[in-house]
Amino acid sequence: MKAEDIEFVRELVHRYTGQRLGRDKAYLFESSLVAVARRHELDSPDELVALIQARRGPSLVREVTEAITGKESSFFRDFAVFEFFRTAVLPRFTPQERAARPFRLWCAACGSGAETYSLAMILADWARGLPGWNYEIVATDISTGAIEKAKAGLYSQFEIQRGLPVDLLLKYFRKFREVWQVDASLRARVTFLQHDLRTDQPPEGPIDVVFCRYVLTFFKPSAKAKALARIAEALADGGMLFLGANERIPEKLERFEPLPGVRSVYRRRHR
Amino acid sequence: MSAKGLMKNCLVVDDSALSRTVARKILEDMNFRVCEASNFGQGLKLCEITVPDVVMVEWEARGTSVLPFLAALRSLADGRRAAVVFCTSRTARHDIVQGLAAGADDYVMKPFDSDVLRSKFERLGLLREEIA
Repeated sequence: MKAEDIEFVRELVHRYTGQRLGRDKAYLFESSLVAVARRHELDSPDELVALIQARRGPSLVREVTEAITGKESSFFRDFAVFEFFRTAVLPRFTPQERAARPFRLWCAACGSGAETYSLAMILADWARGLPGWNYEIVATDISTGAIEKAKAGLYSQFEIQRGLPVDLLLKYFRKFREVWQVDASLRARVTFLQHDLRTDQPPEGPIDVVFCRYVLTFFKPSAKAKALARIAEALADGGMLFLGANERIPEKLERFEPLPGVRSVYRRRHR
Repeated sequence: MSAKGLMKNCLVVDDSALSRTVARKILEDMNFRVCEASNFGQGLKLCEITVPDVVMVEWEARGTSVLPFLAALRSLADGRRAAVVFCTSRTARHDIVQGLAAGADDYVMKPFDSDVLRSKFERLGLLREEIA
């Protein structure tokens, strides 16, 4: 890698994670970049850096910084959040209230799909106990590479062992040579779309719950406000937005109110 | 209480010295006190002295199946207290099903890394006292 590209990546990681990488550690993060580049069908880390510099999107920046700092998204990342979704959020959307339309979940900036399938497993289990209750999952990402990976639902042995309980692995995955694949029935429940949070219309609403975690951090304030406005537009009154553990909505955005007693979850105010 | 007093114990039973070394390195980084055994007889003797908080076992060691060891461990006075994690190169679905049926609390497929073990141990509630 060129010295200026190494410098660019070090600066990027520092800006978004606070971590300072030693210049002598460049060989370590180069291999992480090669892996990310390969996922996006790029020939080299140089092309990846060029793509980021051409502002091809925050989810790519997230992928790169997470790959370098070893915090790649995993199944059930922040397990308590998913427990909260299952035990405190889903019961609000009971079949009686919902008879008119299905429950709608939007995973914005879904990356490799680990978060989306974590939620899909929860919803599949939930729906099994409630005959007549229906749901839809839309997952979007700016990167077509990420969408393709998520759609395929193929994960390495390392990926499926980080965060995914073994009983859910047995229930929802099939082994396929050296990799594990999400069951076709679960994959079929998710509609994957290429989508830019900053500029594209949100998926068809009204949406009941949005997961948009660990990506808004990588937006400029103006772009973040735009993305949040789009999410607010898509959310039903009283709908919920889940952000990453350390992420906050600026207080002046009146369309959202924080949910008491839980971090980084917001409710869409009534219109 | 000293930091040592808070440390949890992990017994690794595996006939591969390399596997034990890899596990020890990761476990010690997670602040565990590690014991090793290269066969189940030796592992059981260690459990009879103190039942560890967690036992990591291969399916087989020196040609012997883990199943009699598990039964013997569970019949010890404190033997149900230990979390049992299979840590194995058997990675087919039916192996996992069988391991869980045999009483494993979790199942780790080799090769694994520290993130994998950390996430499994967190789920088993084995890392909580780190904060204390």
